[in-house]
Amino acid sequence: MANNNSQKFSLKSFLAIWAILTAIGIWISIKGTPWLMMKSASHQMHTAILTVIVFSVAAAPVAAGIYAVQIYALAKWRYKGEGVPPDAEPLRNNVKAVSAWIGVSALLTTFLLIWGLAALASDENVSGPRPMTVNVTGQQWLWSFQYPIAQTLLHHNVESNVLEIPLNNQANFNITSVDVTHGFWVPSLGVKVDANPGAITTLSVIPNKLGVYDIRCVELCGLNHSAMITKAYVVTEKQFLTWLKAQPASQPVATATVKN
Amino acid sequence: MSSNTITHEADHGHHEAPEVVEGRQRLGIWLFIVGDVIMLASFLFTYLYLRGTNTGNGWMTYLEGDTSAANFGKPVHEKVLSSGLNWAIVAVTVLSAAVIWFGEKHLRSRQKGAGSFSLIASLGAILALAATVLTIMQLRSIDEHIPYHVLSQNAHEFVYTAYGSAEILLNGSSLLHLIILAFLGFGLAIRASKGLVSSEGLKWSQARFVRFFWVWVALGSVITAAVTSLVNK
Amino acid sequence: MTATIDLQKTHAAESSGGGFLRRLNFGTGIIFGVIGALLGYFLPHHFFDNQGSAYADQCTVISAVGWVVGFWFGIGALAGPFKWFLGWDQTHADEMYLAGKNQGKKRYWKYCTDHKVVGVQYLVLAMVLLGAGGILAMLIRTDLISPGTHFVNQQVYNSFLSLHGMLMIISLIIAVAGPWGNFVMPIQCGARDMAFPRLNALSLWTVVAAAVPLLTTLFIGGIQDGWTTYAPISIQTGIGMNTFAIAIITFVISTTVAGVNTVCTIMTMRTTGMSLDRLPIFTWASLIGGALGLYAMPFFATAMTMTILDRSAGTSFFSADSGGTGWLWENMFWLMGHPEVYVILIPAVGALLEIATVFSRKPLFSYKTAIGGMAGIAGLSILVWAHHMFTTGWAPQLGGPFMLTTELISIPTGIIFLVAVGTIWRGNLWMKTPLIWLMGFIANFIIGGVTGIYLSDIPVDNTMHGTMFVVAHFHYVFVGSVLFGAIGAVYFWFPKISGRFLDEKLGRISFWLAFIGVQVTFLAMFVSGLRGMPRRYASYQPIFEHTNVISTIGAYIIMAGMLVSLANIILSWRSGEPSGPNPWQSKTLEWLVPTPVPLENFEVLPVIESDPYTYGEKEGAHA
Repeated sequence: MANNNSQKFSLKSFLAIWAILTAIGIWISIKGTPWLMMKSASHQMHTAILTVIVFSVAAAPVAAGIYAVQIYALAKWRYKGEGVPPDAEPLRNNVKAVSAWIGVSALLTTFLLIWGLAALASDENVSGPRPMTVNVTGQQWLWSFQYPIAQTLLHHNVESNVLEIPLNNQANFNITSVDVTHGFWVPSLGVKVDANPGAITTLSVIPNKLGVYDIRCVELCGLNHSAMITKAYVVTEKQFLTWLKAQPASQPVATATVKN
Repeated sequence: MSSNTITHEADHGHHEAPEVVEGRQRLGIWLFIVGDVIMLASFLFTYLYLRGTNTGNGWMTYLEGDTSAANFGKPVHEKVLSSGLNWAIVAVTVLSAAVIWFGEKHLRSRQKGAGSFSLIASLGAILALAATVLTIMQLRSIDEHIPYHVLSQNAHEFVYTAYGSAEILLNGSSLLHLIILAFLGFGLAIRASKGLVSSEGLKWSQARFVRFFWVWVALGSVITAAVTSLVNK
Repeated sequence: MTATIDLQKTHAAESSGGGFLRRLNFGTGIIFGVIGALLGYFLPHHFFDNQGSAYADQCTVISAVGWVVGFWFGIGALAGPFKWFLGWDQTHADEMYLAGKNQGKKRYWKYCTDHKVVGVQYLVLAMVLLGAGGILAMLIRTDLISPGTHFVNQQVYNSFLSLHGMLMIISLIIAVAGPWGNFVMPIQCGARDMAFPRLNALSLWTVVAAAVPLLTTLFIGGIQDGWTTYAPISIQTGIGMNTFAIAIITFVISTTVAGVNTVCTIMTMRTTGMSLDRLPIFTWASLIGGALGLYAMPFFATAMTMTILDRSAGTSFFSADSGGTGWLWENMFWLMGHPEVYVILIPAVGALLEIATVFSRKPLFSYKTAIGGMAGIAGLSILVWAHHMFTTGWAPQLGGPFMLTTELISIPTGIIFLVAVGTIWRGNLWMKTPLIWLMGFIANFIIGGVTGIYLSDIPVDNTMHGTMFVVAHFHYVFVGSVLFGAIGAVYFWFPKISGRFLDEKLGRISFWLAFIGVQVTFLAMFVSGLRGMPRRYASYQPIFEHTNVISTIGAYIIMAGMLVSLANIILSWRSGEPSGPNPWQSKTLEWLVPTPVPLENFEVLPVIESDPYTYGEKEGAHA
């Protein structure tokens, strides 16, 4: 039966809860994100961190709204009596609320999409000075890097199990695998792509911070998947050349070539 | 019980009207066919995807001998399944579906008993078996004629090319479907001879639903033959 | 009445029970399954080259198939087609026997066509599989308490994580749709049973048949390729991959059959007056989930068939050396994999929305929008699969379109929140355990959903794909949202199947342990991922130790919560407080029939005049 004492709703209290939760959410988004995520050493990583902040700030009022309703409901609308509660006021629909909700979520989605497409375009539009190719080969369970520039400069092949690239120069990676699918990831550079047998995938990045960074495999590749970790060194151009010259000449490795 | 939402009236005891039972069985067979359509679509996707990507030019080529440097530059060969056999399988399958189609319609329109339908269902089943035999021949021809790569690690072992692999998948599925058709055909024949398939009431609807499935399998074999005629040598 | 007379006649007929088929049960299923497995193992000796490298694979595959066929034979599933073929149609006595009439508790161990028995069987099965997956979870989390491997080596660890994933996926697919999609849904429609009762029993026992080879995988060397069993490593990994693949194909058969059955029941067996706009929301959810499963699961069977062929028959679907590609696997798998998570989610959402109405004493808010939301999620889910492949290097030009479709899903997902929130809005909240699980769902699903949005953005996905961030995201959805829904559904419908309440106090303790445990475990796991810890790592670098310790502690808290609910179920089944047929004063049809529910549900089929959400409305106000 209809209950004539319909539950009350105080917009003020609700908005207060919402505002507090939103503020907390935004604060966590702006302060917490850079603290939690890895330090950026490239434009792509910077874009990723910025995107997480922006998306979090956009999500904060939405999440806060839902939590605010829950808190308000549990505080104000609990039935405190014994037995089965009486029926509440039958609110079957509210066209304005539904339209507003769908409209706002469509707007938010559009914003996220536009931001995302723009960020994607900027990530893919890598163009920097002195592009240098590094051929990356994944295998069970190590990474190897081949530097064709050594052939040009030093007339011999250089291969290494660590990645060495010069600061502020564009590095182009050609990545493949000789056995199963591996995932090539340099966390601080914000770039990741699989190493597939029989195919060559590519990445371009311009490192903008000196340092030593991890490279980790992110596609389960068998027994020692968790050991498939090596280092990426972002060094000055001079240091790079010194390092390159110091590498021993090596035979061209039987990397998987795409038969054409 | 809240009486404002429900009122009770007598129904037909605990037995359902034949049209009701038939209606849900019809929807059931359609939904099952939908699942089968999706599965065939996934097989054809596989065929077209492997053909399109042609990884390492391995869609249907093979080297003479192993992939060591010694054989570099030797001629590469390609061979396609016999399209004659392929279309023969399709023709027999379609013929069997036509037999079942006309047989089931004839039964319905003539209002007659079971005897003639029993023969027709048997004929359809036999044709399905014939198509099965032809499909087995086609599968064996993959083994004998389709080029293969010799793995350099294991010179005496081989793998099929991607083309051969996709054809195995499609023909294997075809084989399974044809065996099911033969089972359904002979089953209908036995049931018809026992008077369980006739034109009265519910009893002919099972023949009708088998017809739906049979026609789908025939259609599927036509679609498959059409798609696999795109070989991209 | 004719009905009564018929029953009296048949009682005499089937009490002369006997015959081979009537003696079949779970035990005979196992016996014949083992016989089939042994036959399947030894027959290849005659047909295949035992020096070939694929020999072990071939034997394992055929043995696993032998198990499934033998089990089907032994449980009585093959009787149907066999008898149809020979024209030995079942009599009314047969029908009643198959429905479990007068067999007492024994019918729960048999091939029983009564949808209520099948529902209870599914509940037990889901709990067993969840328990097995949960044990593996605890083993994984315990091993991850510090860097380095401990009591399991990498091979065992990789197998544990793979089986944990698949067991949990299967148990969640059946967790709500199994017990309640079977027990409750037909009654909600006003039907006496499902559309195809024998197929119903088949779908249940086929999951049982599938579970055995799946678990066997662990004991024959395991697999090293995760629950997603990517190729080409799935071709390289041990023979456990064969039992895994057969288990999946078997499971797909079950889900396909169940999907057909569900959709047919809802579309053709609704009682007079039960038009689609008067259907309870849980039934709508069952319809949408069932139809989506019918679309998606065939891809899984195709994928596993190709894996088996590549391993055993020398094909090269996935070998780059001979024209194959791992991307074929990935596309085929995710064509299934993404819709499948919504097959899991939608029935849980349906159950929770049902709970929302009953425990707010209010109609469902915006009923048509709710259905549109669920249908929108299901429809869009067909178009998003390659968001799992953003970093694979496959078709980079498709990144933008898949980003679009994936972000669009947030709109219908938001509608689910709208409907849930709108239903509790200004309701008289009845603070019983089912409602509390709903509240937990809402809180967790926000986090699960929002973190999904990060992952849908390609630049961000480039940092987070393959890390523990993804693992935390989907655990918030699967554990924090779906599992909370599944458990809430148990607390809601337990009185209907048993006539007793689950204990409220234990229910709350279980909830708080689970809820707090989820936050501790998976918030810390987000941090692990943000800091760069990849997933599926048997041992991790020391910088990840702190967050892993926290996640492990959280896992134990979740486990405690689960055990409390398990204890609750066991204790309350015998000695819970009696509830009567409609303790929650709900208006959906399953609550308006007696407890225990009679064999054919209704004496007389009801005629419906409104939807079941007329709380607070005058008679006839909403028709």
